[in-house]
Amino acid sequence: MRLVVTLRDWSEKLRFSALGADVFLVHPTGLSGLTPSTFSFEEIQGFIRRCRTEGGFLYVGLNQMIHGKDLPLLETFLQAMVPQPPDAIVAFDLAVLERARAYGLSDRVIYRPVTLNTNSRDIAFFRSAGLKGITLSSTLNPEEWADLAQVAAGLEISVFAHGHLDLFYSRRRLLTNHLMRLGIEKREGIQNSEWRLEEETRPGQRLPIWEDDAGTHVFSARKRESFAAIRSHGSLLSDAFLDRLFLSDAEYEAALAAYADPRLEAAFWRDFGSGYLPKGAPVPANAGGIRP
Amino acid sequence: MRRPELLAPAGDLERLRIALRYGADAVYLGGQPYSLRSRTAVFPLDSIREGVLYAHSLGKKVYVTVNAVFREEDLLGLRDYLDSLDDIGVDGVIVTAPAAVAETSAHPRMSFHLSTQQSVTNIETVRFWAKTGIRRIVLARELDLGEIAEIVAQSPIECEVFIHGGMCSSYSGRCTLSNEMTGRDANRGGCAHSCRWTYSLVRGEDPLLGAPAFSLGAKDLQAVRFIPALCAMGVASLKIEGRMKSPHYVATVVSVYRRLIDDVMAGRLLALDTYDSLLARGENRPTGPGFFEGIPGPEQQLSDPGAPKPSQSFVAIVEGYDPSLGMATVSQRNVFSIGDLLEHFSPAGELRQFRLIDLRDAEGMAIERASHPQEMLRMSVPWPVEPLDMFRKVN
Repeated sequence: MRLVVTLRDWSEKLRFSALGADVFLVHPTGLSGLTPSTFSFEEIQGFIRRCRTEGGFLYVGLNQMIHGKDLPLLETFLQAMVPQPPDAIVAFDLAVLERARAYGLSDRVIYRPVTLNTNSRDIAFFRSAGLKGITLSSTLNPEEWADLAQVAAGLEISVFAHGHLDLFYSRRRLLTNHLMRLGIEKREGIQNSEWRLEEETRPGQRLPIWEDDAGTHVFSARKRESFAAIRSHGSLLSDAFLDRLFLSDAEYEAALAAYADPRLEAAFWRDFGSGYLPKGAPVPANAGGIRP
Repeated sequence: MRRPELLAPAGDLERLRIALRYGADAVYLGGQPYSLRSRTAVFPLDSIREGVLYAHSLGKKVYVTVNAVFREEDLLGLRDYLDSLDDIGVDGVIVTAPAAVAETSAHPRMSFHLSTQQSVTNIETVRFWAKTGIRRIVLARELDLGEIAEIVAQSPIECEVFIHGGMCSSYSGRCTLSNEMTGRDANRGGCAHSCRWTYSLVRGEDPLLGAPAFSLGAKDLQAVRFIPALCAMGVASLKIEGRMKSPHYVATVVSVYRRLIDDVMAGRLLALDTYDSLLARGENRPTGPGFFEGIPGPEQQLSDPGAPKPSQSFVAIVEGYDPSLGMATVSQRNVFSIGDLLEHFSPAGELRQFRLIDLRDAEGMAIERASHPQEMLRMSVPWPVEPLDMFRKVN
């Protein structure tokens, strides 16, 4: 199983490699959101070439809904990827798969719709569609990951392993619309990771909210971790995605290190564990096999 | 210009009959095991059979939603269930999961429609699904008129568009807010509408004191002024949301859009305000244009997410009529009294008003006030009425 990390800039690659990352996920400008930075198609081609020589896999994430206005840019992107195809194109929208076929890239596509892909017949359906893999729904538990991965028969199965769960994706400008009502500058709401929602009967449970050009997302208050699940079922999976939005660099790196080396899991729980557990819950007894 | 189908929701057999009688060309309803309204407004197979027979007797169609996002345990029995719908003569099924899409070849008679839960937003995704045997795409509700036109013009299969009713604020099928907040799976019939709850906005560690509540919720969709364009672009089906809505709501909304579509097709369109005002009689929630004019602004957010009060104007539905006595037998739906000015509302569309002068209980005793929900009553009406006609109180 490969550990997939998101790059903010290329300089992180060496450090993340040393910590145990196998795959580096980058996002192209204009076709992605939910990321600390995006890159031009030329930059991405450069990253792919460097991975070929320096080692590591390069995935490109297109994590937004594709509308008609985005199709010309999608076409340009796919054309630009033909000379040096990335190891995977991680797509939120099936338009990417449909157009990738025209460029001989469909076997590079991983379909990652976040909430869908939930059963063995979905897997069979996408296996026959000729793509590289699918990411299971974030609503499934690790036992379901294992059950489904065992029947994948050639289709790569990946999971969202770490970070805040993306719960809600709207095309509406929900945050900036509200800020405008409050007389707050609209730009304060764009790509700003400081904003949270708190439901009136759940004080203290704060859901990160994020808005960018592709719309508004709401995330889980509590972060997901999958250390035990990856130890148990990692051998059945192809990729585990570690998302970094709303995480500090230190937390992200500590998580990556702990997935790569279970002996470091205790240190992760010690330094960052509170955001991953229900209120008052104890740290898992088997955290990395070492009690913190 | 192709006449689009008017597709209405049916929460039960009564509302199925009302929707069809008031002008829908087809209805969609939830089957018991696999619908996104799994808690209420679902039909067992016997009721589906009854509904299909009724619809087909009128030359109209029934589609069944099988649009949950299936987990492994849901697959058991799926084929048998689809076989049963096929045997009953259901005209189509509305599906979301690829697991259900894969059943198209096993059921060639039934039309498989891809649910809006797949949030199809572009022509390339339409093409992907068209190759799987899907015959109709219910387009995402996040498209403006230009985007819809572009897709419809190039689509190899039929396109269906929502024109009225509640809107998910999220891209449909891509939301698990309810799962997070309540443990109820939004994509398997458990949506708790957590997007309509009240939130406060916090920046860093600090709540924005004094700020009004934040709502993720959206106003309902109302598309009267866009119907001429949707008809002109060749949309195959225009869909009304609301399997949980009242008979009066269904009757009102269906009848207005029926009249509007017919008027567009006949080239006799009235001022759009006319249709708006008729529609307002069945409405109880704030409405707007959704995405038809582009990405909605602040005015389209549901700034006061409190539960809407149902309209009290709908007072009775006709069960029968005795021409010798000039008395209708009605089922009470809201309080009304002797002396009230009532409006007779029927599938024929003509609105006529009268003052109520004679009201009797089931034993024939004269009463002043009808105050018991669902009570069977008799009342004087100065002209013949038909079953499923309705009365509403004029304020």
